[in-house]
Amino acid sequence: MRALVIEDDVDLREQICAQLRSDGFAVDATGEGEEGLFFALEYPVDIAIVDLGLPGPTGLDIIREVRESGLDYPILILTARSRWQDKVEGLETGADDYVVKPFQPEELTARIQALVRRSRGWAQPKLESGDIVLDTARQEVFVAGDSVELTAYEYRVLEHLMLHAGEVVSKTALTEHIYEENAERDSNVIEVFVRRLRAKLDPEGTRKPIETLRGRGYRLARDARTPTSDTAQQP
Amino acid sequence: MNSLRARLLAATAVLLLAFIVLTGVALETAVSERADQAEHDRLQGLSYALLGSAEITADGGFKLAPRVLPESDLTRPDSGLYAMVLDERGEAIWRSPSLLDPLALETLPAVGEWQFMRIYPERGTLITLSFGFRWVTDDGTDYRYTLVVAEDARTFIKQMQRFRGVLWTLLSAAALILLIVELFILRWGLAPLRRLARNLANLQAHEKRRIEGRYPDEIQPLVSNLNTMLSNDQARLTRYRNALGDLAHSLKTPMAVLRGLAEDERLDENQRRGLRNQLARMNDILDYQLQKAAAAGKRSLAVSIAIAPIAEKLARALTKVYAEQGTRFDVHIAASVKAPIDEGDLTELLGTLMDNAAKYGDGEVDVRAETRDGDLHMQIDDNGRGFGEGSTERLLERGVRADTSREGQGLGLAVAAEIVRSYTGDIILTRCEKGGARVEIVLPAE
Repeated sequence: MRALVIEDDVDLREQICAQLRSDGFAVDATGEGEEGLFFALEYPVDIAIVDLGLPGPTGLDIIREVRESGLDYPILILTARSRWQDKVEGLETGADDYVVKPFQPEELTARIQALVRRSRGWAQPKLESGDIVLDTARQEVFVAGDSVELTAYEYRVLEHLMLHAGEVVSKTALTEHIYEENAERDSNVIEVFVRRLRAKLDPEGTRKPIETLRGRGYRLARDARTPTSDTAQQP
Repeated sequence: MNSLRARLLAATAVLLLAFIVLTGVALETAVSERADQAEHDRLQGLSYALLGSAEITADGGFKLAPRVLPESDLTRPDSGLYAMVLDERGEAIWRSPSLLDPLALETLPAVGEWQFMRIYPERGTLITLSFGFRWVTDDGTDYRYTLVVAEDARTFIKQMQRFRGVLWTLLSAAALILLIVELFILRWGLAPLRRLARNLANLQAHEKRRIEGRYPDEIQPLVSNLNTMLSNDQARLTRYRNALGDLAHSLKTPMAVLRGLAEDERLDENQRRGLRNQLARMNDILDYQLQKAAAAGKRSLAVSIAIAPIAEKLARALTKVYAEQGTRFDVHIAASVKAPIDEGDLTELLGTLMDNAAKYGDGEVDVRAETRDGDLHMQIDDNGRGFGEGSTERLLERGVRADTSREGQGLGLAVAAEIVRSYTGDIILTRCEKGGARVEIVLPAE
């Protein structure tokens, strides 16, 4: 999952970034409204965390621009203003939820994960596909009830595939959504992650949970998705 | 004297009275002097006529035949027109037939002098003109006489009295008419002030933020200043709120950083808990004071706003926030329901209560509002477990939470209660038909 953090206070921004990374997100961050707007419009963002009181274009300006460009990824407002008039303004502009400063770090995580899940049509904090269960709240993966140890990148790849279960996810898309903008990238590494994931999730090679579609990407079986799912199918 | 009209009327009345009295006195004096002069001239003419027909006998006696008398009145006894001639001793040596008894004069004029005066014998007043003269006979004898002509002043006085009567009646009538006209002038002249007062009173009822209309040059500056004051009031409130919001923003970001630092694994659990608790307290204090200060409260000249659009906006926003729980917000408010409440206050009040209802309810929140006898009645229901027994009074006090496992209940209700109180309204916590909590709010019109 790729998160965009736009917050002008350096300390708070770094705290949020650290927390999001430990929660398994690839994080892009900026304290500049102008740069934030560019990131928000150009990067493959899965969720944006936007402070309302920014210098330059304000948080509201950024949200408005994002929605006017037709982008519909979830946006969480970070605001110091706890009055309802301010919150309502943000939500009416196009944000999906708000967190009032100062917040409990766990609360921020919970809200972000709920927003990401909901945006992909999952109602529960546990994503399921066959006998694979991914607990987004605790970042744990179970196969047939047994806990499986994954590295941070393996977890990110699996989470992305599960959130887009039933869709074909290209290597490029995977790269974009698990790496931060300035990270060293190598799409061959994705193949390594997928191979390792397959080995961990299906050591006997009987269930084959991750399909490879030559030249197009990967697909995770959609069988256990909730009925509320209405995500667009890739052609 | 607390009315402009009374002041102006009193001043005008005093001025008018002084003017009328002075005019009356001046006119009367002028006319009576003129009348005296006329009388003087008439008596002088008569004197010359008498002297012209007079003869002096050799022994110095005065002779005037009744038939040559210039006025017939002089021959009729007691007619009111008299003449007599005194010698140098003051003895009457000739009397007109009309004069029965000689007249008594206190002083007599010197030779060649006229003396015009009033005398007051037993019956009425006489106007007299005396003339001192010498008569030198042909043989050179020199006689000294005084001619006295007199007229009864009864007619003269009567005429003067009639004149005075007419004069004062007319002047009084004029004064009365002027006062009545003045009354109308004042009513007309002060009409813009009454219009201004009416417009000020209507400001609230007719949802205006400024006094409309063109006023006379003397009042227009006042109206302009009032309008400036009205917009300044609005601007000051906005500025104050912005300043408080900025204060919150500048304090809350560092607090958020501190809150994050309080999770540092290197601190022991007690230190972390202490930090968290103190930060939570700071935040509560800041929030409470901020909300309280930002509440505009009842102001004079407040504008009436529609309730439904604000409730619907909040419902849309909260539907997003409670998407995870799928909470439904139903707003049953007619578009015509309006109340003179600050938009920020109403948003805060409804937002807090609807948020509470969603938090403690079970997926259904109903908002109702109506005006009865001008008072605004609002009702926020949920389908949760209600407030519980006996604890409702305490919930409205600041910082008391009915359910300590969830955050914000006590503070939210206390903030709502604070806003309601600032509008001298009532907030009642009861139970609705669904069994959940019901918050009833009554905001009085006045």
